[in-house]
Amino acid sequence: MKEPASKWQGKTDGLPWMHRSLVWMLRYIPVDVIYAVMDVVIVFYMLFSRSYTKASYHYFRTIHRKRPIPAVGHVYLLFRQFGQVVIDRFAVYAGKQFEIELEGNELVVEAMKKEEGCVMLSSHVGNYEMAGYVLRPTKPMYAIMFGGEKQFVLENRKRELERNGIRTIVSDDEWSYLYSIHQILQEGNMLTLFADRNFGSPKTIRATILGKEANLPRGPFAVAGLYEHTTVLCAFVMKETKHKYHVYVRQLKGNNAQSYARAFADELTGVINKYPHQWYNFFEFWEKD
Amino acid sequence: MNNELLKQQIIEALNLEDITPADIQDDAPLFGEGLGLDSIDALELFVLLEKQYGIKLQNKEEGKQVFQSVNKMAEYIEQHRTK
Repeated sequence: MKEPASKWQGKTDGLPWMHRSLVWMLRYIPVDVIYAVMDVVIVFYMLFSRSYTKASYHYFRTIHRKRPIPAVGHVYLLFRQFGQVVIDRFAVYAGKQFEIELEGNELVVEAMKKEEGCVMLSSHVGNYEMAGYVLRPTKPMYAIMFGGEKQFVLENRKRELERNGIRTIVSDDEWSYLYSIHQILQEGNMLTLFADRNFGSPKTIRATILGKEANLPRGPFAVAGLYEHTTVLCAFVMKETKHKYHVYVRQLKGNNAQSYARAFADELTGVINKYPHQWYNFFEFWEKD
Repeated sequence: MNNELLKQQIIEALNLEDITPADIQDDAPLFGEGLGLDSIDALELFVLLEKQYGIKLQNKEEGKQVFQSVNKMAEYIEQHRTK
């Protein structure tokens, strides 16, 4: 098992006043207008966030096998879509609503009927935060938030998640949140984790995603495999049109960290194939040839 | 409590490839410099104690104490096991 090459943590860019201003603007200005401004800003973002641009370019070149010039165009489309997804998060804080189509909710309902806990895995694709607005588990649902995020972002997310009945645990280096996870599952509750971020362990599991080998973090899959009867689901929330999202919930079959990682990799492959511009891991995710 | 059996259970629970019971010293720290386990491994050890010995640790501090070494684990199991 190798350590992943990158430590990119998925922080939300911008200063607190920028975030507050965006929420304020979104209360009065239509989302489409902000999108249009973002279409221009994205070009500068691509130029100045060179490591993100480079990683996304490699993603289209090596994973989707695009030629050099079309790959640049696809990077623009990816950043454009990412910009819209970020705006949508703030638009929700500002009270805007989106149409959301839900597929596989019966799996969540079924998991809630069981005494045992449930782990829901996701990835930095699409806009997972939207899941909190539509998936309404009847048992307490817990989310892990990355402690390195800015305080303003953490507070906003915490408030929004809790408004939707999701309790939050801030991830840090202490054992305390790991003990909380143990308790959450022991008590038969639901835990949601990002399965593409290091969590509690630097170890990784090799898996094939879109035909190429990648190192998935072992932590989330080890948590999924902790208890024999835990229901393990994955959920992806993908942007379909400007004002519509599609939520996919799938059950993962397995009995240990390795088998859950493989099952997750298959589901992730399906979703990235369908939505190639909604892959938001801005680092070299796959192993080099 | 048989330390060799416990070491074997740790190796299996944590899927420690290329490690044999002989590689684990009774008094060596399990985390950090010793066996180099991480906090996800700690979670798996919580579950090992529950499944194999019916022991539910009450808090994280207790976990830190118990998982100091194989000797400490064995001692704790001997005193608290329910199966």
